[in-house]
Amino acid sequence: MKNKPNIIVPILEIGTIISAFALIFTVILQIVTRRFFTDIAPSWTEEASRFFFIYTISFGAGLAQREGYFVSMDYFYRKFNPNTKRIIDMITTSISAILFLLMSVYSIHFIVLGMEETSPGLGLPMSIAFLSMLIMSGTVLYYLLKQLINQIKSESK
Amino acid sequence: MILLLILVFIICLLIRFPIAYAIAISCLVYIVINGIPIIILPLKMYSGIDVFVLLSIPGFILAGNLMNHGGITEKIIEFCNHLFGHVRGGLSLANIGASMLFAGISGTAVSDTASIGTVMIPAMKKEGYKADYSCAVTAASSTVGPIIPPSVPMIIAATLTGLSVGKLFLAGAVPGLLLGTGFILVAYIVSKSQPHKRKPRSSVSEVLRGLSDTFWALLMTFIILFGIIGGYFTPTEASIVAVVYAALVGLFIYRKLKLKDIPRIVLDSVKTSSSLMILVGFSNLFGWILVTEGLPELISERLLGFTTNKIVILIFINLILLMVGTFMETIAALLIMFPVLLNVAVEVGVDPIQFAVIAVLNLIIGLTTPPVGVCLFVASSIGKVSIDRISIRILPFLLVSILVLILVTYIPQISLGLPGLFYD
Repeated sequence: MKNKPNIIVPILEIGTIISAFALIFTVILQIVTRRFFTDIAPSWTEEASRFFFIYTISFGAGLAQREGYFVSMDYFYRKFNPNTKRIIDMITTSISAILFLLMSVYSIHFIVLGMEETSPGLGLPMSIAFLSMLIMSGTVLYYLLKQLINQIKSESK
Repeated sequence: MILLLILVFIICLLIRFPIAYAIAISCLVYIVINGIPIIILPLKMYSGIDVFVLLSIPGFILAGNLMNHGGITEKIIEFCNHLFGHVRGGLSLANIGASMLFAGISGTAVSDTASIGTVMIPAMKKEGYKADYSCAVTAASSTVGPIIPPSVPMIIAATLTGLSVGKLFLAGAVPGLLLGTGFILVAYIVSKSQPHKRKPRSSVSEVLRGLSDTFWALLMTFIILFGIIGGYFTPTEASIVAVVYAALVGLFIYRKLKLKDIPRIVLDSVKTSSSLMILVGFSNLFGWILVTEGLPELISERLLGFTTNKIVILIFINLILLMVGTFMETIAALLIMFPVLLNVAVEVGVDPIQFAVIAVLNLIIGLTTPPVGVCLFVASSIGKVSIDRISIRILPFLLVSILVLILVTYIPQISLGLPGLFYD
């Protein structure tokens, strides 16, 4: 069976790179305007760089989960036999998925709350900034579920 | 309630949940039992990472990675070989020297172990050094990374307390140099009893050429440090200046960095940063629960109720932090323990800047001790040696770390001297 092309990875990678470069550009702009044009950098630059930072981190979170960037302590885990390890893996992945499912659902509530607020510098609805939390939790959830499906498949084999 | 929070956290750690998720799950259990709205999860995650100074962490990680891909690691190692190669055990000394220089362009110990270790461990083995010793030297010396500026743990400490990043960076410089010098002494003494080969002494022109090759890397450390101290940049701005600088040096001076490599390096740095920031975000919630439950006050009351003697309190704090650092990852331990113990330290008259250095020193010792010493694991996978064997060979280096810790704990001038010189 031919594998379907995965569009999530390129979307997350492009999102990460655009946000990261926008962050770099905004901070450079902040330095240049403060040093060469005015004594104080425009207030929106700090806010914009924080927005881009949170988006960079949020787009990168799913990729980090996909590639196992999260540090864990496996000293005790290594002492278990392979069967116990498999069961533990499924339990930890399932509970982590529940955590990020709740995070995703409540991120939507968070976004709704943000519709009533605007950011002081840029005047943007805060829901745009809070959307990053949904991207973060949703993509981590997606890769946790994929991991769980793979674990179940290998167990049934 | 607090016991339940900690119990769930420990169980999650033991069954290999990622540390960030272990923190979040223990918080979730607490939230559900106490009927706190679950919206606090994304809310505290957002407020935890929406901090301007934290922007410098991906910046410094990216700058370090760009420098590394630009070929700086090999040049640093070459320079240190010219400096120390003619001494008995010269390669181990060069390894430590390279880690100290590399610490100035990276902010974490693990990246130091991986970057220096990949080149130095095979080179040392080839020259007849025992594999376990080569790994031990690499792992131990990489712990200067989070002390010598720029330092990711110092930025985290600044975020937690509002302390000046510039002061914290300066405060770590002398202890970092002491640590490195101590390691060099140990390596030199150990080498006297080993049949390690010496290389011919390098000529002055070779040393100078090596220095000029590493000059651009050293300059980056100075730009970061003096840019912040001189008030030219904020730490976040300094990290971005370092990114631009590292890219220019890699592309046009060392010419080993290719434009097409940059997106991959950016992605790699962001993934590392994302995993750190999620940890910071969930720890923000964990910290909020600890404060709500009054744990910092409780610990402060208990410890100060027992004694108000500064020396004894600092012994207690060091023991607690050493124990926590042995079982928990540095950043996670710092995020949880630093605000809790800072109150106690300040109550007995310890300067918060000095305390930050004490805390970071304590926690980095755990990077080279089993069961969760990340640097040990990285070095062991490069050198293909068991953790147990490296753990034994690393003991003399651990003694140096403990000695430096004692000095920094009881002689405030070691950490406060430089900040006092530049800031007051």
